[in-house]
Amino acid sequence: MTRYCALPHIDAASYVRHSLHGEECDWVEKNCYVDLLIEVVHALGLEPYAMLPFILTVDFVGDQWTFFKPQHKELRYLYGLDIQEMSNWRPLLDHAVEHLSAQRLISVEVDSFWLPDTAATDYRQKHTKTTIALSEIDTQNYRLGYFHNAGYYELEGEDFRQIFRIDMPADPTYLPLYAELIHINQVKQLDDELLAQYSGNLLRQHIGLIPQSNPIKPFAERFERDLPAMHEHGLAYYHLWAFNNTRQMGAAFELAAAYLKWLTQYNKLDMSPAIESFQKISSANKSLILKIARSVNSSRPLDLSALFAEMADDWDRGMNCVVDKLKI
Amino acid sequence: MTDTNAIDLQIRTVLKDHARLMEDALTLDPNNDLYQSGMTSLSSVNVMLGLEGAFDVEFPDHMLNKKVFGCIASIRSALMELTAA
Repeated sequence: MTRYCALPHIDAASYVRHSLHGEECDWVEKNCYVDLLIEVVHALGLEPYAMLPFILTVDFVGDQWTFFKPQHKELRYLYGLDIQEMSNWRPLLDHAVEHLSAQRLISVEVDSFWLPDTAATDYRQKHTKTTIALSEIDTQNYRLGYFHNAGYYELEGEDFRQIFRIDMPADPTYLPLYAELIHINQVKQLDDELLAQYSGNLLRQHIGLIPQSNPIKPFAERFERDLPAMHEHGLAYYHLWAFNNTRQMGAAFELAAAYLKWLTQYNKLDMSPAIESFQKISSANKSLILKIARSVNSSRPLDLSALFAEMADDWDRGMNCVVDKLKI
Repeated sequence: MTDTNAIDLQIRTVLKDHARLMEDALTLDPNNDLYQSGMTSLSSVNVMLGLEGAFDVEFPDHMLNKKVFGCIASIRSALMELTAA
């Protein structure tokens, strides 16, 4: 036997991504970890919206916005999914055979240089750390089925050899990257109403964890301090800054709006002011990412004070609405 | 070459240089969705900069969105509006 598969019903050619990764989104890709979880949950026939309450707690933390992701205990509470760190003590290929045959997916950090789904960015061009979830492996034909970013893909040949370090000489300086096991044998499917109720329970907990003060204000101040360095280092540096700042911020608030829209179908609360406010922050960041790029490219100064002030007002309005409606 | 053809050729050249599409930018249907053809939000930033440089324009705030940059035809419409002004 050379083919091992944790999710036999999934096929890269026919895979349909979740609407949270629809092309109509401002931010189709959010970050690799949450993107992967959205699609794994979706592929299991479960509803990813329910796991999003954590998104209200995103904060600006010095040189970046929160790299947001759900807590594992919440995934177990909602879906019966159990995620634990995998000790990467033997070749990844051996771990893959072991665990995929036992219906445990492996999420693992890899070099996107060898991921063909990144053809528009990193594939065979740039070395970037990212996380994929291994789902199906064929050890004879060197083929892998994996979740990454907004979809489910396949790779083979040299890409497979590189990802799994086939026939590479032993290298004492090589440290294997972080990996997790995703146990799916106790997955539970709650009915929609109950899942929404569970999700609402999590939202009430997370409201207690939202930033104590408006995070957009320190972000605006930090941007002013960072802009000269971006002018000096150019677009390549800017793209890194933008991923960790405007993208995370924009994507977070788009998810927040989408989540509240989903939840309020069930709890019947009118959170439309929050949904609109958070969607405005998402859209504003789409404009922001382009305006800053223009400034970096030309080294021209840029006054974003009005844009930041409006986003800060939207944050206040959105959070006040949610807190008020939940009567916390 | 008509004005529209000349504009399209310049747009296609910018896309070829910056969009990293899965299909040939020089022959892509002008109404095909560029994001579905492989353009990412990262490459769309470089496309915008390339277009502004090639046409010596600055897209106003209300044009900084996926609708404008979604296909060659919509980019052309936006540029014709900006260059006519």
